[in-house]
Amino acid sequence: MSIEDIMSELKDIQEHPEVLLEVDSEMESVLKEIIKVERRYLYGLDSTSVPKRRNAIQELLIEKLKNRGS
Amino acid sequence: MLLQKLKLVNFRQFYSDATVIEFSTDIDKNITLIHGENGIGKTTILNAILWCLYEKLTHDFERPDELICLQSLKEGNKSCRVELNFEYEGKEYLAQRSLQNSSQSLFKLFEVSNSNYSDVPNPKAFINSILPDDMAEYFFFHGEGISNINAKKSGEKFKRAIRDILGFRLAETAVEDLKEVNRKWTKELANLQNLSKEESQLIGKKKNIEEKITILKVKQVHLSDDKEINQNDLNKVLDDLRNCSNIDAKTLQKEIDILTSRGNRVESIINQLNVDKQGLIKKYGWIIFGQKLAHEGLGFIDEQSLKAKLPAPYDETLVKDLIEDGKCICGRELNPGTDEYSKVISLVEKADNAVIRSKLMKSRSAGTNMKGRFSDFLSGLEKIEKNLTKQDTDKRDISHELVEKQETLDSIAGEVDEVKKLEQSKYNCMSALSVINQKIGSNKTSLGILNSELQTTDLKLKKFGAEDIRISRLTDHQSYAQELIELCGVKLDQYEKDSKLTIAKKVNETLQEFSRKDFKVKVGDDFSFYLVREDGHRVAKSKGENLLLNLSFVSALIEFAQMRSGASGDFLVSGTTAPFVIDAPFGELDNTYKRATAEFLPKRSRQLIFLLSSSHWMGTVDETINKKIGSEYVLVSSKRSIQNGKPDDKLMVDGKEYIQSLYNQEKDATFIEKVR
Repeated sequence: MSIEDIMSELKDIQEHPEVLLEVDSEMESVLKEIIKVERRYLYGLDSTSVPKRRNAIQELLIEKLKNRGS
Repeated sequence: MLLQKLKLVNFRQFYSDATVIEFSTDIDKNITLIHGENGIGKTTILNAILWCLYEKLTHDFERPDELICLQSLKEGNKSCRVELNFEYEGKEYLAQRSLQNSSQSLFKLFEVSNSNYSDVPNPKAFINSILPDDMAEYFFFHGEGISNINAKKSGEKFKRAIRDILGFRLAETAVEDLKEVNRKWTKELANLQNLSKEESQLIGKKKNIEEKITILKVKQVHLSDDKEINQNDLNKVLDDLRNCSNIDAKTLQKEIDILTSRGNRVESIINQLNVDKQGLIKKYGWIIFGQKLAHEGLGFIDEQSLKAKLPAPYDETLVKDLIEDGKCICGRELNPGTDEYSKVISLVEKADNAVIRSKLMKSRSAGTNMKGRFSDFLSGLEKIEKNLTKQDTDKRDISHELVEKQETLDSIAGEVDEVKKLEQSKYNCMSALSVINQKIGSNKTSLGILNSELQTTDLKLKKFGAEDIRISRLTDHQSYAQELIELCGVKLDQYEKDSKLTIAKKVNETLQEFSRKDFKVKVGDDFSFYLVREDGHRVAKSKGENLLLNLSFVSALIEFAQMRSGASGDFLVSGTTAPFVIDAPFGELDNTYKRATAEFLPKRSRQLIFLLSSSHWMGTVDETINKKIGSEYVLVSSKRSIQNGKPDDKLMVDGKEYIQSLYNQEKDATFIEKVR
């Protein structure tokens, strides 16, 4: 790789810094959505019951799998 | 989060609504100091904060069901309340928890603006978003808790502490929930109707394997706990041997330590070399089989080229041009039907073109490369083997020397009772550890076998799934959930490892700055934090050194939580800046370590609230923290009983005398007096 190539890469990064942002994989995004559900139930918004929380997670997974298939 | 004011109303020994503490929020004078002799109410203040925010109490808080002040109960008042004013992100809040007739407590949270109080919806969620309850116990800290970190299974406790401060709780619960959801789907599979015999058998097998795996994992956790306990016991016995009164035994044990540590190093080098060897075989192993092919292949290419069976060095384009021009390069005419024409035409069949040329070059280069790599592989392997032989010899020598030293130590044990007892305990611990290690190993093997059986069963089930959409749907769901569980595990492990090192670095910085001895903190694979000398040997910690280590660990956790306060929080709960409320932290510290702790704690936290008895505070601590105190109180115990020779518990603060125990009073209660 020449210096010109490196300079050109750096220029690209300067113009489009978003390329440096870590992009979540599909699974990571799903995991974050599951954590959201956990937060809602564990940290007080709805602490009614464990089965209810697990049902919410199960539904989320089924929904995600449906979207994956379509 | 900065605490501003605490008001106790008929809470435990704090009678009426007279107890109000205003905490220092000054950044330069960030200490609030509350004096109180034992049993007067220091721990109650810590618990009042915990109870108000989380409805939690420290584990050793006695009579947790009796929160309402006895004096006020006698007077017919059956309620108590704790109010806590705090500031968070520039806004002021009032948290209020009350209890009526020992029924369920009521929690309210208000935002306070210009003396107006507006309700904060979902107060529990709001408080948890500022400082999650699992992190809270490290910020609102009881001195006893510090000693507990060092109790048996310390590694587990250090690990738990790091996980709590990192906000693992949500992700850990997510993993448990995903596993449960998966179990539910296995049950659904088992309940499917009209399955073939083979399908039913496979599903039954899967369920059975999963149950066995769950049982084995629980066993494995228990075994790890037992291992840690036994390892701690062994460390203690070894410490006693190193410090026993018999000089010969003491010296021998130290020599055994050095040899053991050398042996461990050699063992780990051998392990690494074996890993490298496997890596080398994995990387180049195919070349062993490719070598013959490469050799013969290159020979074939050369031979066939010579025999002109492979494309000759004539360029296809050149030959075609000659035919088109009707003239050979030698000048002869090339007319169709002539001998010359036929010969040139035959060259086209053998002529080289760009595609063939490139393919040939690639084949040649692959063959040559393979030959080169084979020699790299051989030299790498030879180097590793040589090193392995050397390490094996070292290992044998060390083990031989160890046996000799141990035999000498055994002979001393035969004559000296103290050494005999210690040696006996050492052997007991070692044999218990060996049994546990064997069990752990065999469980690990069984788990490996079960996991691979599960994979095979899943694969077979998937095959059936191709014909039965119900099976396919459920097995797909399970694979998806399993993928998420594994991803979560990988992420958590990585965060944990990184944080462990950062926290250990912070603890080391504190120790280097403040400890009088030259030692470092090391973190074991099991997360146990221990002190080592420069030569790498474990230090037999005194109680004071232990406490210093634990205090620096907790303060490092708090600093780490502050560092993480800007984190996104979409996977781990983000960190926080919160006050450090610490009850009786200086218990077993000598003056030097008291001074050290009193110096580093205010530096590590934005707001520090000390609850101290006179023995903890007088002298060194007072001198060290005096200039950093922004607010100071004395707890005063009022008793109906007669003094009858009991102490007044006088305390001199800033030249003024405070009497902490008043006798012959109208009520049994504790009050608070402001010093500054």
